[in-house]
Amino acid sequence: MGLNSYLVVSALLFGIGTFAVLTRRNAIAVLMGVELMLNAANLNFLAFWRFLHPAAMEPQVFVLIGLTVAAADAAVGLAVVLNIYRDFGTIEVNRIDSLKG
Amino acid sequence: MHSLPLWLIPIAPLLAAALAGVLALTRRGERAAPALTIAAIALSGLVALGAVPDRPHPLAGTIEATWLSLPGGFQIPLGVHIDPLAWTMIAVICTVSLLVQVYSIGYMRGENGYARYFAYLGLFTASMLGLVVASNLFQLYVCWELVGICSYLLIGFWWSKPSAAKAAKKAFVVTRFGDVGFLLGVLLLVSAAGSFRFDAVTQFVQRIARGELASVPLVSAPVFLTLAPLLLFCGAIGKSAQFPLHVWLPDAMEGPTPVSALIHAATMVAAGVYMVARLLPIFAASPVAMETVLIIGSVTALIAATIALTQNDIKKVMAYSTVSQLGYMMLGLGAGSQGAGIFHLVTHAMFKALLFLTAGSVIHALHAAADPNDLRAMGGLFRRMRGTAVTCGIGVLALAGVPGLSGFWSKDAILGAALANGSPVALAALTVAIIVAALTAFYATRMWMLAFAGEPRSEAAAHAHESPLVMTLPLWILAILSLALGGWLQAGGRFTAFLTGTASAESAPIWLTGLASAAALGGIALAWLLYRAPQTASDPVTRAPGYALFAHLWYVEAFWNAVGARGTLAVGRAVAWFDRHVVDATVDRVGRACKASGQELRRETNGQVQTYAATLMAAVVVVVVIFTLYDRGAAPAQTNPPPIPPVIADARLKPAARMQSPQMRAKTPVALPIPVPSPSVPEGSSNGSNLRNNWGGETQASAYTLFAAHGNGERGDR
Repeated sequence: MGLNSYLVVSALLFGIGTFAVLTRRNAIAVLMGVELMLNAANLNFLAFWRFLHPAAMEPQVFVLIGLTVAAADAAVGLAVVLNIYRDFGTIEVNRIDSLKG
Repeated sequence: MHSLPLWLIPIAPLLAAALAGVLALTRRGERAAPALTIAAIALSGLVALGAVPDRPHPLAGTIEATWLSLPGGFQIPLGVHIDPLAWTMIAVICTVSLLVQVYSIGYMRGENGYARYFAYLGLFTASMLGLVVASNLFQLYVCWELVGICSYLLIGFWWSKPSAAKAAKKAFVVTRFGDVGFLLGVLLLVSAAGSFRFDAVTQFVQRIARGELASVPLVSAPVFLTLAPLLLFCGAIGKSAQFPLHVWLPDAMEGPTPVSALIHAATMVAAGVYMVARLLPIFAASPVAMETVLIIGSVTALIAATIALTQNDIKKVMAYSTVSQLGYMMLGLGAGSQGAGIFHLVTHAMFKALLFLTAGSVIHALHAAADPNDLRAMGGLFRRMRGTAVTCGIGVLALAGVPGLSGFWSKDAILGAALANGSPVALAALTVAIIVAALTAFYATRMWMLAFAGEPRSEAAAHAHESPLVMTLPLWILAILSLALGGWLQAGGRFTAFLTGTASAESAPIWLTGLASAAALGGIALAWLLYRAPQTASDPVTRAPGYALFAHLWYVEAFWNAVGARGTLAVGRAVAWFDRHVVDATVDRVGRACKASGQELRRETNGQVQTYAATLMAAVVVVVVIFTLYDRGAAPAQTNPPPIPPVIADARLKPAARMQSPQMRAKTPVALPIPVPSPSVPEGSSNGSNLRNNWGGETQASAYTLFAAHGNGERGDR
């Protein structure tokens, strides 16, 4: 299969995630994109680990922490979205521009 | 007298002027001011009297102190140098200044600024004396400018009158314009000669003229010989009101009449003549320069004389007459005769001051008139102001050059010098001089006739009365001098011998004298005939050929207004346009560019998170690209996973090297693996190169192998 394949997959995932972050109007869809990006990074890390230093254990731990962080991130992000909805009445990111100018 | 120091000559009037200036601030001390300045002048005169150069005197000669000593060996001296030329000038200045100040006591009585007037006069006298006793070019130039300042102050004495203020400004600016050339000439001479002193400079020029020095810094020797005197002459053109810079002198008549008598007839305008006379060896080294002096002198004499014919203001007639006579003096100097030029300076000082003071007497008597200067409103004053009329008549006859009076002798000397020179330019100048003599006689007589003869043409003239003694006494003194001085000086060539040490008498041959006298007498006769009858019709002079040109001042004023005044303003406007539209615009544009770029950049912060995220991603891409391009140690990607390395048997860690099953754990003691950093291989470094070095699968004795062994062991166990 090769290291390259994994790298390509993770790059594609990262790209799709970035696209989602930059383009979607719905805040939750943006968060989904962020998740995708994090997972793509994890996948990338794992690919490098498996093909280059499979005997090591630390990278696995790192990835696990990364997954945990992603989860925490998603939780907090959803909490923020809730508050935004409460304040602005909408979760469309292009309507939330109080910091304009 | 003999024990008084020479430096008192310029300093005494200066101190008196300073004191008078202080008195001007008080109210009651004002009347004492003239006493101070007159006493100072008398003192200067006495000191000078004791320093007559032909008598041995311990203090005559030069006394000098070093004023400034510049690095590089340049000395700027400050000194008093008395030689025949300087002594003559001192005599003239002291006499005329003394008489004018006595006269002014009466003329300026009751005027505002009485003490200020005498302070200025004292300052002027001090500066003029400093000028003529100067031993070096620096002091000469400084005093030159000082007399210019005093002229400005005195012309603009009644500064609240706009025409007077304008005239003062004009005088200063025009003479300053000439002084640019003068300064350049001084600098050229001094930088080449290495010293400011007159004797050093003239000797230097004479050495170049003789061919002893081939080259001079900055310019070649022949150019230097011509350029230096021409530049110096620029100053004389300005100060001595030669064509084309004569335009300030008629306007300077705005000042009080005694000022006109002192400054603009006798002394300040003579400074240029004195300078040329003093530096005549420098001029004589260049035929071009001498010819220039001749030509400009004669042109000035002619133009001014024709203009004087057309004037109706008594002081303007005298002003143009002064310009014309100064041209005569330059003519004499340009012909090569220092004696003739200075002789005419002396006699001219006497009779022109006399004429101005009599004009002042008339103006003072007609003070009630609308324009007291206007000749057309005078007439019949002979009966009412006998003394003034007689002395004025003597002055007119002297100016015209009637045989026997002082003007005759000095003009004769000039004509003789021009004839003796013999060059074509000099002979042309001689012809012009004779024509000018006729014109001079005519306009002077016309002035006298219009003022004193006939019947009064206005109320003020009908009620005129003679001036007080304090004013008429100087008139009589000057009249006696105008009558006698010329003859006395010329007798036996006394003056020339005194001045130059040679005994040659510079008089013209008898036929030339006769011709000039005939011209003068003819002019007087014509004017007498034309103006004898009461003036009912228009002035006969208006029917003269060329009257329009003369009355328009040969358009010289118009020329200077267009070129000098309007030209400078146009240049100023162009520069102002450049400043506003190029310089300021650039600054404005920079500011506006900053503002515009700020506005553009402002659009970037639109408050939307996705925009910021996009910017972030772009930056990340750029960074990655940079890293990719500049990181050349890329290792090839691996297609197959490397084999799992075997268990490393580490003797130190052996007992605890295996993760044991509960059974095994019970059997063997547990020693917790302590990661021991291996000294040979750096551990824990995040340096990518280290990792890359290990891509070949090289293992290291580290804790990682420990766990690998565990894993393997575990797998192996299972």
